[in-house]
Amino acid sequence: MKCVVSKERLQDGNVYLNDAPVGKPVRLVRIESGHGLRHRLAALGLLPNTLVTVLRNQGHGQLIVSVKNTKVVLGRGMAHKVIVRTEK
Amino acid sequence: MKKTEAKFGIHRPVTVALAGNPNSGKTTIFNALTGSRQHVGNYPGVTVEKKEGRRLHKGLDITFVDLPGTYSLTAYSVEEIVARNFLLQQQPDLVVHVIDASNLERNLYLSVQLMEIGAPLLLVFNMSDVARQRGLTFDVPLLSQLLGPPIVQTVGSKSQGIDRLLDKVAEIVQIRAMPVYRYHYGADVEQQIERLVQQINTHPQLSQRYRPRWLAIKLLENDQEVCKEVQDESILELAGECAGHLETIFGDDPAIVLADQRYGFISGACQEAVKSTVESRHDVSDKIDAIMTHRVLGLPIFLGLMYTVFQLVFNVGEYPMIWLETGFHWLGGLVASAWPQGSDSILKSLLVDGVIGGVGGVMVFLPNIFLLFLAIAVLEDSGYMARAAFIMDRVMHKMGLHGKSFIPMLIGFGCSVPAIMATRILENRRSRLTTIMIIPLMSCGARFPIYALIIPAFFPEHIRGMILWVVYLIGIVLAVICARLLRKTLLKGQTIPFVMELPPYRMPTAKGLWLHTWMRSWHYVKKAGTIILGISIVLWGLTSFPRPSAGQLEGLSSGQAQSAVLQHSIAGRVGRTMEPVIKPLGFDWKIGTALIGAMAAKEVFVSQLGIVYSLGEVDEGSAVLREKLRADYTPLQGFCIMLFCLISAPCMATVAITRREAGTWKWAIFQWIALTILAYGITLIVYQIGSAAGNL
Repeated sequence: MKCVVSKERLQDGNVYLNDAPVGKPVRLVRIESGHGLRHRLAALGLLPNTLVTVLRNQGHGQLIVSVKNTKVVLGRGMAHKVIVRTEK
Repeated sequence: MKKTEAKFGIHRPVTVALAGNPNSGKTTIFNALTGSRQHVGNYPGVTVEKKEGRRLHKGLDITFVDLPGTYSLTAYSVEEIVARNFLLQQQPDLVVHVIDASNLERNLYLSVQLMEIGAPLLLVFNMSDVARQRGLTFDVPLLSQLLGPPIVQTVGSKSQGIDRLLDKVAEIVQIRAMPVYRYHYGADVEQQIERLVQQINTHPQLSQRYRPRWLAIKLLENDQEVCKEVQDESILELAGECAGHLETIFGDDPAIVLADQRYGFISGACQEAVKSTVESRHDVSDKIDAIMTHRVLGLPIFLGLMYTVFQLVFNVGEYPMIWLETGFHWLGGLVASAWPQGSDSILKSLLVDGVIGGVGGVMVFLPNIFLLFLAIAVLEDSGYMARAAFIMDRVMHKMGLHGKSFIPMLIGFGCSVPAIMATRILENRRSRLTTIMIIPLMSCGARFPIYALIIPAFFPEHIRGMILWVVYLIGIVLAVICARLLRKTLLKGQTIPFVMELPPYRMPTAKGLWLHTWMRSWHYVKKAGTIILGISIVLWGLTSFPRPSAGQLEGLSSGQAQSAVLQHSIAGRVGRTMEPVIKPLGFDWKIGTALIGAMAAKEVFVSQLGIVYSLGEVDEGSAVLREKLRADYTPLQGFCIMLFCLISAPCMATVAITRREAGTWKWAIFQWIALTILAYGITLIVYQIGSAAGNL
């Protein structure tokens, strides 16, 4: 139920990070999580408007993403809170 | 004359803090600066490791403090709070920020926060060789001008630039000029900061303790620790108002707005002063990761690596072990020769059997433990540990934990104590408690001596490695089951979202490996020299007194006499009283007596068994002990001993650290009792089924 609601909030061309194509840079739009985690992600460079590339996504489990020249492992639940826009 | 000399010889004491991201090479720089003159302790009140080292340079007595690795200075983790409080309360003369130059933007984010806190700052662009390989060139003077603090370039792994760094430290500390930093937020943010600063300045007790600008920024970020510290209603109210104002302008949380502007400033500076000449983004790390984190190959590679580690520890360790054994044997003989042949001196028995026998029995396993710590250091320093956590995430998820829990569990193979301390990387208390509870099931280095004694005694050479692997595997499987159980019952709750950096692969340096391995092994040696020495003497006493009268021993052969003395002693009596309880497990009173010793520290089991068997004999050593064990017990019993020692009662040090990390005795006592009951149940089943099957 919750999932459906949040899907509706996605605008055209926006997807959750866990649905983003592998190997293509995407632009981070918004992170839908609490204060602490957003701050944590910000410190790692995951901020709105930065370019992020999913390096590994096996359809389950964690993702490896590349941001600002570093590799970061993200839990799937976390990735589902990150909204990105695919670049034209 | 002497007085003037002394006066000139006095070095001015200064404190320099080392800050930096995890994986920025901070520890390498710290090691290069201080060598092995390090002191490891804890920050007061918390269990974060505090490393200090001293260095004399140009008339200065510099104490370097290695702050915990952090990505920022928020109040998100204990490490961040510790680093921050150190800077605020101790006010070091200088903060050296170690930066991974090949990953400048992310690292500079912390620099900006260090500037905000008002610390005198020196930036160290470390790993500048890697940066060059990646095709990055820096205009250092320009960058320094844009950012504010001076910059020094180093290659920590090759100890390059360390002298230059020391010179610069001395220079800055001598001048003691107020730092000038050029970082400003956008006009809207600055306006709100200014409003808050003015309000803070009307409270001298706050503005004297903290830099008002820093307080204002933290209040805008709604930093919980700072809010608690401020307390003043008028300031907090104004802070709320200013934050609300920013939220309406930017449509986002002010903390994120500030983070965004910091990054904006950094990337602006980098665009001007950093040139990238190589376009290729595929470096060696990516290529290695393509294989190491492969969806199919990743897990088999990981398991294979673990298997190799165990084989290495067991096979390579055997030779130095034999040398040590011979050495202690020789020493025992030498000490015994001070007494006339056949004399029955209590002092001789204490020295030869109690001290040399007890400590020697534990020290012979030092080569194995050294190799195990070396293997863990290689995995950590090369960057593979983080990949292992990624690979294990699926498995860990099924246990209700996440990949990160795997790191403390892996350290648990070395020693439960640092492993339980390492659970601090877990942010969620339930995940953390679950991990602490199951860590003793990871077979630690101290249990290794037990296996190293038992396995060669009962099992043919070609299956020894496999048996060892099976014992470790049983521990892991049990840990999985217990974790699942705990997460479904006592520690129910959601697994929290997970973030972790994957550091680039690096060739571990000999110096780094040596320091890591040496410090941990030294800890083991110290334990052998203190706790185990003490316990060995106590146990020697327990196994020697009260002595039977000479009349009781008359007419007995030396073997029978030895047995009589033991049975007469306190330990023998306690072991014998325990015998009916442990008999269903296949244990007799001798093993029972040794198990009593193992409660204090696992490895004591071996020295205790040695004393139980060879009391009164000069001829002592593992080979002899193994022969005796082989004569007394079956391989099934041998296996049950290992099983019981693996699972049962964690050692005293583990109990103490669990109590400290979990915060209450409740969890430490629960862990001890639950694991002992589990050990009893499982050993009972294995022994009963095993002996029934053997009788068929």
